[in-house]
Amino acid sequence: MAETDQKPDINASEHVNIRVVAQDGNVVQFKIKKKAQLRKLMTAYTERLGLQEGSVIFLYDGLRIQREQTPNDLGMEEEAQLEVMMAQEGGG
Amino acid sequence: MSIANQPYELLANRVHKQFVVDPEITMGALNELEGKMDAIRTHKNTLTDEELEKAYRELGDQELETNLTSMRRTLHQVILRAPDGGAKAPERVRRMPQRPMMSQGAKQVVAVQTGPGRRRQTGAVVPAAPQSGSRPGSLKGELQQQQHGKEKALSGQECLSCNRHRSNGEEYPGVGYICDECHDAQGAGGSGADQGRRRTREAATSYIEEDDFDPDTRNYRQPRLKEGGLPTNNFYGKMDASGPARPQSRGAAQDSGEQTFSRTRQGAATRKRIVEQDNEPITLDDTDDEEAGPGPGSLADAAQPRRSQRSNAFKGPMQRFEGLKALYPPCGGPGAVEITPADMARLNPEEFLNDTIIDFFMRHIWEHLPEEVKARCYFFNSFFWKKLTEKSGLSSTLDNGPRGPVAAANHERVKKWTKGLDIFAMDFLFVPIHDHLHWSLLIVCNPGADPEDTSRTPCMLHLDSMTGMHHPSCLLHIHDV
Repeated sequence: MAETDQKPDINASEHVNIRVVAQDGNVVQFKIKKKAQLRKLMTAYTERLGLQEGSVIFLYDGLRIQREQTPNDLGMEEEAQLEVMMAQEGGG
Repeated sequence: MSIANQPYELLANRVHKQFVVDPEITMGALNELEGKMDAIRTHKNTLTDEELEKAYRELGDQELETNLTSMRRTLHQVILRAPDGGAKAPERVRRMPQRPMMSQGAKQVVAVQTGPGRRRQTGAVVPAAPQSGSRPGSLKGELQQQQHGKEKALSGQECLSCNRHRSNGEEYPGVGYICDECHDAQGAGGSGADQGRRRTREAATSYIEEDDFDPDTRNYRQPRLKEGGLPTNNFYGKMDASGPARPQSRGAAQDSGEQTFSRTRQGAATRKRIVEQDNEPITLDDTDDEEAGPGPGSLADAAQPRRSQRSNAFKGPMQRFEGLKALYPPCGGPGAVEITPADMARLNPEEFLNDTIIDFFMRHIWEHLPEEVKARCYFFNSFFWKKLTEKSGLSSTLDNGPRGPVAAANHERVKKWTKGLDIFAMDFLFVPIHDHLHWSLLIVCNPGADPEDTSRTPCMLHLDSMTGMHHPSCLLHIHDV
């Protein structure tokens, strides 16, 4: 019974808190709807830090995320953590 | 006609004055401006009303000038392209950008309505600011109104960005008029759904728009930055573009204000201060109906007819792909790589490769392997190495060995990356390495091999086209290969 009691709660929470961790350890927290595309979060983050949008890559569990993906798509739980990496460029 | 032209002539005069200013000076002026704002903020409790007002007035004028300077390239077109009158543009609520690091007392979004009934229907609405008699706020508002009166004469209806006449848009003092579409395009993503709606509408009316930048292109701002043109953050911060009747949480409103303020703030110091600010979660829930826009690889963006009025030296042949994105593999899935024209341009001779290209090709190799080989190989993405070897902040005197705390911290950072996967069951692990503007490849062979088994020897191969830069001694913080 305990499980069935909990489930509606989880479904009921439309929002998810996402921690965005930069390479230097800085954390910015976002609260976003689970159905909302993460593009919004990305834009807000880059604006906040004054970065160019293409200059950072967002990773979730080491995998690149696309702008159109939503927390639901990625199965994000509360306090999910995104890693921000600076774009890398170099010669071969 | 002449009356309609007059604001532009005034504007042109002012621009002309600014036209010769060196960008270097502009940066200096910006820094100075920032310093002054900080000073005012620090001393606002000790200053008298007169002093404060004077300071704000001075500041306002300066900010105006700075804006003009940084906009001079765009404004030049305004001079060249005379307006043809047109309907009076509705003015939008002016929002005074809010500095995130302002003290709590002064933390309010200053919204000055420029006149009754002028609030745009679909515009970004900042709820009535908690004025609470706060001195700086009200003064600022007053000043804005004064300034606005001054600047109203300079505004027109021609959008600075797309050079079209629009009746929907927002007026920026000392700068001019920006139509909604450009406004949204600049604040790309800030109002995803609204933008989506707008795009749909545009498509329906076969509306031609956005000659220069596409919100879905990751690098759309670059050319302008390089030319010192339109300050990219200038019209940002439209976190909410919903209707006025839409209820809005206070947090969102504040965010909106904060985001607005990102204009002309590019200094590293500012960035740092922003980072240090509150740890309150930022709520991004303004729009609930995120319309599934054209996905990656969709032709919808490129299908829009495009018109380029500017000869832009920074646009290469990749321009024709502008707005297109490609997802590889096309079906998406975990770890799919999104490639933009800017990434493709990196394949030209003498260009640096970026992480996207590397990741794409690694994925491409993997996808084309025979099934039985696929199962034996694992390709890390290009960030794995960077993440693994990140400085952990642990003392360098700690045990640096394979079982030491440093290694443990390193592992902690990436342990989720391969969850559900046993990398020691693989025969080959491919790790792209990026460091010092150079790429090399590390191949871990037989990571899980039994030391007793002589047929499979664990080893690492490091493929490096250059000697020196990626030598283990300077590359590895954790252990030697």
